[in-house]
Amino acid sequence: MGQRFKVIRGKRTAEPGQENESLELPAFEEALVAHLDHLFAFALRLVSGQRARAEDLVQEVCLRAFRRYAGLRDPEKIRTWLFQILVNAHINEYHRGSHEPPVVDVELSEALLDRAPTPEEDLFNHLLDDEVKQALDALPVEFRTVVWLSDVEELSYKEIAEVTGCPLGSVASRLYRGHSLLRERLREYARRRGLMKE
Amino acid sequence: MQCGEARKHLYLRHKPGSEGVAFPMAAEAAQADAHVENCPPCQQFFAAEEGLEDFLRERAPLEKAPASLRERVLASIAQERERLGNRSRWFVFLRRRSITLSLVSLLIIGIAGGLWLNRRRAPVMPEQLTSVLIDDHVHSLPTGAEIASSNHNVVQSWFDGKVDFSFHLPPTSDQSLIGGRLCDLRGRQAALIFYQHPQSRVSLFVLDGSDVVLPEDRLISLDGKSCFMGSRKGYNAVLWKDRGVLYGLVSDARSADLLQLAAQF
Repeated sequence: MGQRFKVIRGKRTAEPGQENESLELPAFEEALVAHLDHLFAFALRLVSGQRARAEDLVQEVCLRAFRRYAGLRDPEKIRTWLFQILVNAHINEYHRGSHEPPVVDVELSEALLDRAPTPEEDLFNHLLDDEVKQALDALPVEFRTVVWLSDVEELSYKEIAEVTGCPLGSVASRLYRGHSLLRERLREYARRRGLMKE
Repeated sequence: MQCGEARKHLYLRHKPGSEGVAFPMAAEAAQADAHVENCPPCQQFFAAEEGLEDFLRERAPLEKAPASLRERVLASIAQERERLGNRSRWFVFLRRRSITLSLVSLLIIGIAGGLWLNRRRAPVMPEQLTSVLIDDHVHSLPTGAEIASSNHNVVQSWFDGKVDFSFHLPPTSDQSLIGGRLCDLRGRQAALIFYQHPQSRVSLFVLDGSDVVLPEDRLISLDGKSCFMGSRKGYNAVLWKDRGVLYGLVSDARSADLLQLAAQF
């Protein structure tokens, strides 16, 4: 598990909604600010790079998190908890505005895993940042979510299952299918730029 | 063991936190490990997966939140705190006042208490509630769902801010969740959640249960929950309370089956 950033644990003596004179203590804001970049980066990918939408989404998530902070049982899990609120807020928004059918989960089967990909990261390293971004954004949002949380945020299967509300088996299956699709798109960019033969 | 089977076993285990996935028996896991150790295509398979993971860790766009967003977020939280703080200061002010203010407070409390007693609803008995829930279940169609999703987080989030109580909707492993909507049970606001099981439709009603009395001598103990069972017109209902919130499961399923379902909540 990655430990690239830590939760700042302030002395939380007051909960939102409680009448307490020590409401000034900014423990929640400290913890939030520590995760804001990661929240924004993930939100940007969820909305396929639309900055204004990502900013609105993050603001909404932060306010929801503040109102529900008292319900957070384990402050150590604030990162997973914030991602969970973000995914739910996005799903609510997405369901309102999208007519795309949701991805159908399939079991991680032997047939699915039968094809052996070749390690191509050396080749992919020649791609531009924008191409990597576009390849990620082109994934179905369900796969993009799992790939991002697993590979970039380094969450465990169990944490991803908590964030997405999916069974662990579906998380593993989405990760593998997301990798396969992403690899195809990255190869396509490599071909277009002449880094790879047709 | 074939490549596909070995890869499946190892793919489910190649990351931490996979407890709960249907793992192979220890012997099968050992066979999978042994297979991959001696199988170059499988080693290439996992090398490619790990290579892509490393690539994404290095190259995925981690864009920083703009300073303006940070300010907006902190300002909106400060505004929310201010709202709560004003309430807090009002209470501090009252605490520090002299006897006169205390008497005024007592008077206000007395008036408020009188109004509250006057308006207080009579305790609701479970038999009454069972009838209301069953009637509503009979006349409710899942097609009237205002939120349609099989994801419990989506359905639960939809009710945020729409009902005056908070409740917990557990995940369902069998995709039986259909969706939900708000409902009015004779002037009482409730969340209504729809499930479709192979043999029967199930409604879960969630409402403020502070004035509902479940008689202790008629409760059935179910996995730590004390449940009340009632029936009417061939429909069964199971009611239980958790932290002041009342949950009511209604269906035409057999009472034993309904109790089994209730145990999952």
